[in-house]
Amino acid sequence: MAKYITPTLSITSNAYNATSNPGPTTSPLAISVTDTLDVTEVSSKLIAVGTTDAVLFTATDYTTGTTAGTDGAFIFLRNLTEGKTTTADIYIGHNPTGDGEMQDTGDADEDRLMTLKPGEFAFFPWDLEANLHVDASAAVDGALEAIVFVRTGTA
Amino acid sequence: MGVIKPTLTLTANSSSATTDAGPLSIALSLSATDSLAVTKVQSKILDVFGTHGSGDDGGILWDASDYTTSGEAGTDGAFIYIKNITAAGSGRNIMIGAGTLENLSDNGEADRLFTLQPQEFAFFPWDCTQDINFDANGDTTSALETWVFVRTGTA
Repeated sequence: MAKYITPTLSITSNAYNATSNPGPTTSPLAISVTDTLDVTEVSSKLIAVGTTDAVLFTATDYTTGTTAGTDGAFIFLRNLTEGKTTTADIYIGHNPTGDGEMQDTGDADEDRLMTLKPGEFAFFPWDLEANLHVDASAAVDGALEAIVFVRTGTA
Repeated sequence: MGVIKPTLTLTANSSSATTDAGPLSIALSLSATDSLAVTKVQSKILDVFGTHGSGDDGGILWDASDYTTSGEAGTDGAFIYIKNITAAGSGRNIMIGAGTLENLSDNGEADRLFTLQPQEFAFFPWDCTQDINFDANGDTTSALETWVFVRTGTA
């Protein structure tokens, strides 16, 4: 039996000359999108982050299949350190090379796909082709909310 | 500088619901929002192709060097919105990868981050440490909508 989740994303901004929270364009932006996704499994966790690379989600925990569009999942991530005594930028990597660090100072570290600053979030599919990794600018307990929704059809 | 406001909601009915049953015994209602300071906005709608000539294919969706040469964690970066705008039920699967420009359709391709089935979308930060690439399982015009919002502070 199909089991559904419904993600809805909006991205809005004011015009550039608005007196409050001016946007980056001359016209206001109003992007809105929604979808219904068929999933079979949900796994959620709140994790502590540290200052060295660690595995966030292991691909083989969900599938050994590698078929594009069939095997996969959807990931929601949110940096929960906003307002905490210690905040942290949280780094997310996909298939890093394993030098134990995603924050090489002074140059681009290609192991780092994204940085979630305090309060920021992300929602994206994940094809389970490689593990997702996490690293941070400071050690904080309960810093990252991470939820995986496994696609129906995943082997 | 301008401010954009992304908002994501993720909802699901309980597993006992008679319509669109969810994956959990309880209903799910998750909401996340943030205000992001950005300096630049770019948007495009792209054609996608499924043929693979010499092993490389697809194309560069966003070229990191167009936005920064430093890739400093937490400073340089952007936010990416991507939507597969091909028709539900008859459209193309679109593969998104990071790093090497290559055929992302292959099974076991570790550079493939995710696959967007028709009408699926993603929103995530991007640290501009490597290019974002795309590929597809067939030819379709006007198949992929994408926006990039560059973080304020990006060198």
